[in-house]
Amino acid sequence: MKDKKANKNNKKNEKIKGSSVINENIIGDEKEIKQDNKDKKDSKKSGSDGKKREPRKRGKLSWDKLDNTATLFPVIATQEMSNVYRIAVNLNEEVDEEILEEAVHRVVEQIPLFGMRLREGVFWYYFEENNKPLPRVMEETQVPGAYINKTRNNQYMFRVTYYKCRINLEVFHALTDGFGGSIFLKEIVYQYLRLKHPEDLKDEKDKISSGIFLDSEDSYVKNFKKNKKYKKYKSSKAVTLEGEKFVNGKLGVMHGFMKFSEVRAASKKRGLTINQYIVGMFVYAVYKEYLNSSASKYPISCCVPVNLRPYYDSHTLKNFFAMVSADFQPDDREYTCDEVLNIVKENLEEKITKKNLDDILSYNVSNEKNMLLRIIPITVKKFALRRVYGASTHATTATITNIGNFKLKEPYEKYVENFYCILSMSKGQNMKGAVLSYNGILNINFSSCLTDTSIQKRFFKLIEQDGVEIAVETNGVYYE
Amino acid sequence: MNRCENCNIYIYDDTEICPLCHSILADVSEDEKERVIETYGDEAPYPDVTEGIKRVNFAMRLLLFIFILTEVAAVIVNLLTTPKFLWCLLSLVGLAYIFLFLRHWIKHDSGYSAKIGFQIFMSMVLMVIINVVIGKPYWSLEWCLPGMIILGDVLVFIFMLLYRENWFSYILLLVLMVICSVILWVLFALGFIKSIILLIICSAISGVFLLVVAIFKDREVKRELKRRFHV
Repeated sequence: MKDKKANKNNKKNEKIKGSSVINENIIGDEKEIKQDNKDKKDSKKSGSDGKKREPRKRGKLSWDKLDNTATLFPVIATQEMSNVYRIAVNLNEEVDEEILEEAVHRVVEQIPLFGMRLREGVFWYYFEENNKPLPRVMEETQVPGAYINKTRNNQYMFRVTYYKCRINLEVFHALTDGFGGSIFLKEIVYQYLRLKHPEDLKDEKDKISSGIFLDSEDSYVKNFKKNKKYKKYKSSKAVTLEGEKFVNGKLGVMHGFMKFSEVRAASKKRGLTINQYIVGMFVYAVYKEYLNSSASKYPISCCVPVNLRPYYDSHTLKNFFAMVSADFQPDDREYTCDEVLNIVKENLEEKITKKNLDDILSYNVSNEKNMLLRIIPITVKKFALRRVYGASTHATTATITNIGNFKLKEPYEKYVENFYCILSMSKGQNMKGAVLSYNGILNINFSSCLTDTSIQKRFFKLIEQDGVEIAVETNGVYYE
Repeated sequence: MNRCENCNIYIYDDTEICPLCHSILADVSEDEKERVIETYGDEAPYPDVTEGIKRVNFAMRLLLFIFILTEVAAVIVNLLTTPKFLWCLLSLVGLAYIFLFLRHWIKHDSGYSAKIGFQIFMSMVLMVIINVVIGKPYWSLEWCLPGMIILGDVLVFIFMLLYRENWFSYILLLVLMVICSVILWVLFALGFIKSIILLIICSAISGVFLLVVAIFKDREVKRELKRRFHV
């Protein structure tokens, strides 16, 4: 039975590899999926996993080093600080589990980075090709961004779940950043829709989109320049948002939807970019609601991850970002919204420059380049990294990331309603924000482990007062 | 969908209270609702996922509670019956080991080889602690530790057979068994171990096992060691 199934999968994989196969085959594939579903029901009864991936030659598994940033994530990841982010898509129709599973299977075969597992070497972690079956696509049963237990996930570093019309992709940050995650999710959506609507999308090629780079270089190392003036990450304390927390690891999620054009007009009116406007409003909301417009011993420090790809002409699917922060330290006088926005603007303008990003990148890579540090056993490295990370956890108040504008290919657009992004919590950061836009709608997603929503309330109110209409949706935990 | 007149925003959630300002929400006409959905998309609700979290936490807490009660009972019985011999320390070490063992297997997500290696090492430590509490002779060094090494070799062999596609993942564990055997020989040289029989058997098994793998599967071993030891 197992052999039969493996043969069938191999045949299917051969089909995928013959990339000239067009969608005429999809209808046939759908029949095949139905047959697979029957098999799967049998396997469900026996409790076995999903489809087995194409078997490789023993011992010839490919492997790869982790990128510079990824080294940290496996060391600091815990149940409470998962370092997992979620990018989700809401379709216009309910999700079909079997078809989604098949779509994931096909896309993973074509984007090798997602078929890797994390292994621990004597000196460093590394990625190794994973020949275990892909984890089952299941209905959502955990909080967004929950820890990915690799043993229970067949060692894969991503998880695909669904709920009603929404498909959730959750990725362990060691694997890739939001850029890589969004490419992967879009391809899953394309593949899913091709399988679900073979007649409508019969002109679409049944393979991943042309123009996608499967480059998995370590762009940090590639663009490293020896520099005497390294830009160190700051470790001085910042305001920490404290308050009553949700119990049992629950996470509060709040999505704010608004028209992109209205937000752009509001930010333009204040002479800011959309990023500066959102970060500035958040900092001002913290100042008003958390500090009650009073002076603070520590600054409000909002971390902003910057996608480095455009600055270094990189197309890597691995992590390639740097953190800069917008800092505002209020003194005794009361600041107006415009004043805070200008401080944030100046901060970000000063820090998001090629020169500064060069310095940050050089600092990040310099330790990795140090031979003495490299030959320290991983157990010692883990201990040291945890201490260093622990010392810097209170240097940030919150993180706000903008993963950009999601654009789908025209034939698929009508099936997709919205995209979402949710960040999991980090030590010292009890609130995070993620921004993205799709189809003219800007979606600002706040995730927080605090029960209090006054910062979000102030944030949305400030934007609404600038003439932006807002619709809000939560994950329901604020009503319990 | 409702509208908060205080915040001046639309709320998709099925609720009467604003999640932001906690004021009572106003109804929205069907036309307005349709317009908002057309503009911003339909709601995308989340499932209630708290039950799963509660169950796991409850099971671990229940186990901890039972273990603490058992140990308290053991201390009382020990002090009342044989106060000169503190066997309750042994039960404490044993219970702590079982709890940490379960916690490690349930919560830790390292691979099987790492888990096996860790458990074998911890079992060795447990045996030595029990031995130290009870006192000489060093039966843990003479019998238990070599026994654990043989058990480790057997487990590595079984896992290599079971997961033939990834058999080389267990090479490092095999190397660890050989290192443990060498350490036992050092202890033998220092006079801590008197009986040599089991020591010879465990060293022979580990050594021959590693030698066979290294000679007949040299390419795979090289590849695995290159990956594992990359700097």
